[in-house]
Amino acid sequence: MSESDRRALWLRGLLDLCVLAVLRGGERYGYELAQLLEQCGLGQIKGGTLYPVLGRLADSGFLVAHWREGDGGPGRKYYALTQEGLAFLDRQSDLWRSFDQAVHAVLSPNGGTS
Amino acid sequence: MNTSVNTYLDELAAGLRSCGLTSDEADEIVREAASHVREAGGDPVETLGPLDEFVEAVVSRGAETLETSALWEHRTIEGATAFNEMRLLEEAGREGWELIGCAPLRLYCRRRPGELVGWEYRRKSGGPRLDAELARDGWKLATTWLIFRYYGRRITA
Repeated sequence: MSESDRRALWLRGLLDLCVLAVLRGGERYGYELAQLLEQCGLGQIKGGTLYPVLGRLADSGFLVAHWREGDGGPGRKYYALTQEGLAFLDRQSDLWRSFDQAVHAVLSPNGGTS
Repeated sequence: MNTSVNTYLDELAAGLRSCGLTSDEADEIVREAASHVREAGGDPVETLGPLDEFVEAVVSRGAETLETSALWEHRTIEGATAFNEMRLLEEAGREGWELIGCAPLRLYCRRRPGELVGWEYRRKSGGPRLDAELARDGWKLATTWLIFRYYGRRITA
């Protein structure tokens, strides 16, 4: 497996949480979210990956969305976190931190056996 | 938009419809993709990803959410302001709509199909400290807007 494939695999399981976490700071539209996630070091998130995740989170009640008209363009669809989304993010972040600690211990020079 | 972008978006729409999405559902996604590629510029495949992967991600998303979408129906109430939103919520709550979010002039609600249990709402101005206080009487924070906090509670028979 190449390095980029492995990163893509990790991201697939975490992109929804990363999206919710970025939205904690306020509503954003898709392209803006992709830019912010890239600036955070997650690499380029293609629209074909991001929008299905946003749709799934909205269907689950974790996000709400509305269109705002642009200047002669197709407008922008803004997403905002719901209270349910915030609670989900908090729960899942705790689970991730616990998992991350376990992996970190296993990957340490002692291999988690000390 | 150049030809390659238009071709990509046309084929995206066709691909989504061929996988069972309604025209409205496909148009919504294509509109968002058009907005994205317009800002990003460049080759749509580079910005949005390969067409077949985009379609597949949308369709598999549908499979993942089959359970949740079957459980909830959603409604956006338009034209809500700080002067009429409580009346709108009262009406919606009687019909079983649960408030889950808001945006300028909009209230976002959901309910289970066939829901007979209603919701009542109240608005308070203040900080998060209110949440625990109101929770004692069964009020759950639904959403916040500026200084207002909106709470909902199921109406018991």
